[in-house]
Amino acid sequence: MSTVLEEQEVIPGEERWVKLKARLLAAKPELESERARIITQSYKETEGEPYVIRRAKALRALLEQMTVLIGEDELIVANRSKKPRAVPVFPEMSYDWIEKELDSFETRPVDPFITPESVKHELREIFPYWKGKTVYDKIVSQFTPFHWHLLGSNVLWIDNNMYNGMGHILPDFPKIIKQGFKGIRDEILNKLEYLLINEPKNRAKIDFYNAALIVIEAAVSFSKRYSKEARRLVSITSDEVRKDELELIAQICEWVPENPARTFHEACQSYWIAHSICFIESDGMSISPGRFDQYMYPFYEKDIREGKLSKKRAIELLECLWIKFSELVEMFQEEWAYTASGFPMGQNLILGGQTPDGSDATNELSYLCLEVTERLSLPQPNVSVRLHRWSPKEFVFRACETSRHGNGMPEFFNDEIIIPGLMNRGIPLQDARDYAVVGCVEIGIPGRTEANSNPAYVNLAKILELATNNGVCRLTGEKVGIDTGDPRHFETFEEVTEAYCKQQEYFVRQLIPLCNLMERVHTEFVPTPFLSTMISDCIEKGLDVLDGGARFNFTSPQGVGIANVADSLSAIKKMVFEDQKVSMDCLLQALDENFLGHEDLQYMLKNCPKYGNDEDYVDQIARNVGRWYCLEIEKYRNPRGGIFQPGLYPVSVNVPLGKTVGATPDGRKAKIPLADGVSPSHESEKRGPTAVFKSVAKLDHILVTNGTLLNMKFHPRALDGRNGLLKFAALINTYFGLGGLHVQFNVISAETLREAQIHPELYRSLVVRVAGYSAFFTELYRELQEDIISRTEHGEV
Amino acid sequence: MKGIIFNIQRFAVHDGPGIRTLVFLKGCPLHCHWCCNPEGQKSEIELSYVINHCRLCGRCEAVCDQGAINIIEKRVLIRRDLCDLCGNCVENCLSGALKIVGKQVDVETVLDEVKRDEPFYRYSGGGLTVSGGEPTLQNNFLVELLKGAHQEGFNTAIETSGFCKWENIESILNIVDHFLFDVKHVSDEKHKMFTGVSNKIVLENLLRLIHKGVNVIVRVPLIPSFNCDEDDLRKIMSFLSEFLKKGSQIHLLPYHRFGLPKYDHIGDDNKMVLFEKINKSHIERATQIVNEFNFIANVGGS
Repeated sequence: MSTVLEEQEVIPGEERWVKLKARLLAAKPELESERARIITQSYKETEGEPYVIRRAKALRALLEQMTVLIGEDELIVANRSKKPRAVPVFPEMSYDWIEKELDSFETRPVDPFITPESVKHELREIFPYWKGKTVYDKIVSQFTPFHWHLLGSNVLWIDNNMYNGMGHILPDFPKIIKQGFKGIRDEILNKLEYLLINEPKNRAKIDFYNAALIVIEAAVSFSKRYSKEARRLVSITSDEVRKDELELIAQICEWVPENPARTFHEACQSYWIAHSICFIESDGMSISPGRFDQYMYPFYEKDIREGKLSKKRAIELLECLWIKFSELVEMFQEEWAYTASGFPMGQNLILGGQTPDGSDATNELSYLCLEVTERLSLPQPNVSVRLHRWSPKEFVFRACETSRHGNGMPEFFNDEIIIPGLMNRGIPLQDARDYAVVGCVEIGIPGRTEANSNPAYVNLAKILELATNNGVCRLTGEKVGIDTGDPRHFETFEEVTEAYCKQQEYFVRQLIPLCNLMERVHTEFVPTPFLSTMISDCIEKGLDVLDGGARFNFTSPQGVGIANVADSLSAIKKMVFEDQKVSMDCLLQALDENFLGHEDLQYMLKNCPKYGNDEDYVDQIARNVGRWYCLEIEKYRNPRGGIFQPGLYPVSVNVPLGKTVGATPDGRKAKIPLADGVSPSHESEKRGPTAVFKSVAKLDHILVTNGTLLNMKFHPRALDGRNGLLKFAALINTYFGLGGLHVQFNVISAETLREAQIHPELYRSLVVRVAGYSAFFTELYRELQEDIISRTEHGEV
Repeated sequence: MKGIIFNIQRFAVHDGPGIRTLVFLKGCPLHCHWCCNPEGQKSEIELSYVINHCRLCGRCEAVCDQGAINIIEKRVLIRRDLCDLCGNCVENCLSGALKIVGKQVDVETVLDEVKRDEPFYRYSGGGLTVSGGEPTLQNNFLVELLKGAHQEGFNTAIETSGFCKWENIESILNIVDHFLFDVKHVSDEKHKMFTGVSNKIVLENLLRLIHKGVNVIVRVPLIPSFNCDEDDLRKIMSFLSEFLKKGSQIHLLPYHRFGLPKYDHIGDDNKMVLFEKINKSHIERATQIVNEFNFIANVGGS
């Protein structure tokens, strides 16, 4: 961490990224109304037209009217807001919460936003138009009282798709870079011509193609506005060096993304403009660059070979681009901000791995990206690496070195589990080998998958509560689940797990139509024609990506609290049925009374075998809990012709979900956070990281195709020097050899974090990974900070 | 074959190559003033009480047949003269404040635990390190344990004070891949004063071991006011330079006080002697001196 601070002390003016980063850190998140104003005007003008056309015209209006901004020293340009780290409003998704919280955004304890009076005023004028028109309104208008009752159970958390766009996708950026939008336009024109002759009555397809043409033209002209702006700045800039830079920007933005990129710089710019427009079209999060080192390498290699590009310049361009990623910020309602605090954007950029033909994919650019990630130490992009059995040793070491540096990146992913997992979902080998990651740990095939990766969380700990309380919520006394029998009459442990599985089956069965209902609203009212031009086979099929245009389709809800359920079941098995140290009656009474006056029992429960200590007794239960969830989820189908698939990661929703769960038989008191991802419960791991890795690897990761998430935290001392690096790499290799899917590391000390709590001003650039993404530590709210600190430290001096 | 151990620690990364499992054997003939494992000194099992974990529930007091436990002034007082180490209190201590330190175990049980991290050894070149106490004190057990580990194909190491009969060392020559050998001081007088024993046999054993051509890494605990002065360190290095190859690794283990609470836990009256805290300049100077003698200093071990 100290190195990060030292970097801050570099005298400004020395390197471009230092200046850019300083400016970035100085920019406070701010709410703005420009997007809301433009889109509202456009929607008013297009009433009565098909929604896909309205969406296209709205995006065109935005791209034609938004402020274009070229910041000082920038080499890569395009913004989605008037200022860096400002947040546009998407009233077509939802606005009630913004209206309600307008006056508190600035002062709220978590993720505050500057909210100028003029912005408040304008938004208040705009919002009434949207009443009844938003995605949120359309969804809830279809809810029955039963739906509300179901959501009141706190088992299902479905807010993601209710308030925001779906996002979570890997667009085909290489296609844009290589062919330019011109190429895609030709493709569409061909399809349209054929359609008009052969299926002239297929209005929906024709509309889709027309919409796609509108947004492509708009994207091209958006870039040209940047070209014009650069030329304007040339005319008023006195600095000769900057003049040249601006002239170059002008030329590049004139050429790409309309035409195929010819240089590395053009490729970077073409990529960034396409990426930015995705985030302007919809407020879906985690739209991810994917295999950046793969699609950029040919441009890098050619420029270097032809002497047009120096390595130094390439690094500088990467640095400029990395800064842009962190300029994108997302705003959530206060309640929800607690689940994903730190303004996360989930732009996952993945390096290494295999090529579709099964060769090692690592290249020079993979290393440069790690270098830049390490030096800039920013929360975005969310850099990941793919490892396979024959990944070059040096690449593994380099990745470990970056991770050890302390900003929690890269995340590590295991090809040997993910590829067979994808094939188990029916994805052909060559596609599976080309996978990348969306957001935190969600897996997709770039340019070919719509996996609706984050539609819902299923609170597994709550399900256990209902299974041990005959469907009654322990906190409210309300019957929210189904009858599974009075547990006091259970005679075997198996009856407990049967009750658990039945409650789970019930809730998952209720979740499916909810997810599908939400999806259909998105499909109908907020199609994404721009995104669809970058996903195969949308153009081929003439279908929006939200309407089944993608080649591979999934819906992917997450299970949360697997460690709590496993530990609880283990305690019940041991204490109630095997050792008979406590009756079910006494146990349930203690849970009802939140262990008050039952402290002895609480300790006994805490002393039962716990997941994370390499004990088969409980690890096998954890494996079962994971498998039950996966096998339940994958039974069902979505409206896009795909299936549901499971994930086991929580972002940081384990904190609020924990608040809704009463005391649990693992000895956890009511309302305490649940364990995160597939990590063991806090403080229950007692045998160090190797035991954690072994326990976690016993889960059936191959089934979890939407990703598992393991958070490990290391004291830097344990990983010192070259020897430490070897051991670090061995640890990851072993975990992956044992069958783990993902791991990420926090290489920091608790002391540092406490210090940062006391003196946040000294640690402005301290980056900490919170469950799957990175954030500035000082911008997290206190409870989450504590959560991070309390995660058991490994390898302490 | 049974022995008494007081801990097994997985994911040890500073005690030999790779990722290792450390097995601590109980009992030590030395009483180093800076000892951070006081619970490893006595050969017999001991009752340990960690006040931080105690919730003063009184269960221990109630179950003690000997009347050896009283709760006075918000802490458990143990009359060790009355305690017969029956373990009743420990069984009833739910918060884990009371523990029996030391467990009689057979070699197979220890090996089973060591085997658990076998996959990590395979990737990292790690294995088993036997530490203590002084492991050679339980020589038969040590031999069986190391033999067993070797048969499993694990890399083996021991951490020794070198204070033992040469025969003991000789008996493990072929089953130890790395000897991590403490050299605390070359002055016999100082050695006696601070560890309770003479260093003669230690240095003799070291010479013979090196002569055998086995893999020896000398470890020097850096203890301020004991061996941290330039003069002391130079003497140690100068002694080593006579027979240790140039380029050999020397582990410098900086003094720390993490063992301090343990003295309280086991009710050891011989409180840890508090030395001055070690600082960066101590370590830098020591490193420099080691390098002057053409050895490679490794701070903290690896």
